[in-house]
Amino acid sequence: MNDVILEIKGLHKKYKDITALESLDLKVERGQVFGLLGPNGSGKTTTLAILLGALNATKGTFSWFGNGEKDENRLRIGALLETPNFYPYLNAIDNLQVVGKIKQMTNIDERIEIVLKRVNLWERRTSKFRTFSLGMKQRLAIASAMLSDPEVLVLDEPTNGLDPQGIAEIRNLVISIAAEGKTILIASHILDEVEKICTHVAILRKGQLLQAGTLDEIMTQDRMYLIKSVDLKALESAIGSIAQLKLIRSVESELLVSAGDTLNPADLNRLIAEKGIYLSGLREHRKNLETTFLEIIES
Amino acid sequence: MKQLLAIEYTKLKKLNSLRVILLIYFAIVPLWMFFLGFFFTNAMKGLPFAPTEEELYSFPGVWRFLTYSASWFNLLLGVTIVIITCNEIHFRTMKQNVIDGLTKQQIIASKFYVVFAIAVLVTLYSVVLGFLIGGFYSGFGGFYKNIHYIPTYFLQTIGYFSFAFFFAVLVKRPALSIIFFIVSFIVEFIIGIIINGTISDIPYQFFPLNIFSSLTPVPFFEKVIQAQEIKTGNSVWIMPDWLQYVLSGVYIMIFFVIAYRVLKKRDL
Repeated sequence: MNDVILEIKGLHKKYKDITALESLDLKVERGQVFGLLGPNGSGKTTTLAILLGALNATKGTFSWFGNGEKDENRLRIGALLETPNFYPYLNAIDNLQVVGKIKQMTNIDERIEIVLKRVNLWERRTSKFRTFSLGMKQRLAIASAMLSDPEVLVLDEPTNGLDPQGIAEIRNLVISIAAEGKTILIASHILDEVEKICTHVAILRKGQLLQAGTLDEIMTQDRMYLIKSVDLKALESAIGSIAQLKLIRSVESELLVSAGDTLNPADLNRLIAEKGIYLSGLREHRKNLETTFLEIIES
Repeated sequence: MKQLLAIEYTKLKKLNSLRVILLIYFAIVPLWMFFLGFFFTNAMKGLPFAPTEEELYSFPGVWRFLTYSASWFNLLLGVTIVIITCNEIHFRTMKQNVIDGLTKQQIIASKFYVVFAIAVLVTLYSVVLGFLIGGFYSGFGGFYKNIHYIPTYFLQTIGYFSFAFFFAVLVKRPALSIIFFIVSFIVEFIIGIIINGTISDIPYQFFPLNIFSSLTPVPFFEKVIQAQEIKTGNSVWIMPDWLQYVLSGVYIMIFFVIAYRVLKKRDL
């Protein structure tokens, strides 16, 4: 059994004058929940569309299951890319029948019932797709991706259009699917969602890969502190003169600073005091993915 | 093939526009046939090539007249093919089908099967209609004579449908594709008139839509040519049937191959 599910080498996509993706290298292994992060236009959807055969790469290669770029690989993948795409004049069951027949499934009816119940659409199974709300369309797309019980799920912004309850449901769904040992590749800009779901992340900006690794590797590089003093401007200039510290941003009356991976609160207090500034407040800031993401994107 | 047909059947069985257009086609073909029959036998009375009612409705003439009458509505069925194809592009379901695992070759093949299936359906309808009308007017003796117009009509429908499919893939937008599809018939006809008037009447016979159209000629076509030859003293070159069949096949292949190449190169 090959543990590498997906390997991307030098993937490049150019639209006339715009480079959407530049020499992307990535590896996704079996069982990983891999998050593709990046602001709008960073190349997340372009990457997934190439991997799913919807776009042609300008350069580079990728391989699913160690089997190259063969079309048949997609039969082993369940995918939702951008918007839910279904036949508006067909009901949920007929739309999933089309997907099941493409996937060459033998137990289509049984699986349709399972997935529609899992996304809470069983009651609306005979309603035409055109009558669905945005959230329902999104849930049907997720049901469609899960229909063949695929080895890999590729989800592009799966919580788009969902209400908070729907977002939580999808998040729990993805977590439960991941717990079954499935590999999931998920693109999102809702970082809170990714942080709760993913084991690995890759951060893209303007088509370039900035960082990739486990969530822990990405998030625990530096310790973060929120500090304040009577004279915030003087504090800011003192931070600028201390090599070990980096000002991230001001947060109301406090400054968020990055202090390397070894500096403890006492050391931090001492370093600033040596510059003649006395802190009136110091607290450790739990670094979340959002902070990390912004740091990496803005660096 | 079975898998692709099953997929297409699931997609199309509840498509109302297809049902409506097919129903219109089934209703209008016999009505149009009788209207044309009335026109040919009454309005053209006295002309040397005017047909009799018996020549039009009895075996074996009914096959030729029926397929000629039905061929007028291939345009309508062609519009159905445009709608089916453009829907797939407009709804982005073609893209989703690829994401779900179909290859672009399978996408083209599945649409060819749809074209083929609709052509079979309308051809079968023509067979039934021909039997009923021919049987009613002349009994069933000699019904097999001239029945080759049925497979010829089948080839013609596939020809028009493949042209419609090619246009839909190329243009992508439903309304625009339908307009271009219809206008292309007019444009080819005008070009044909210009070429016939300035160069020769041979090149136009090789134009794709004209070849498809010539597969089901007007019932008294040979008589018209004969009258023209007598009048001008010049013999007219008419493309032999076998060449029409071969070239129709070639054009059908060209339309599907170009559509495939466009689709393969294009980002979905």
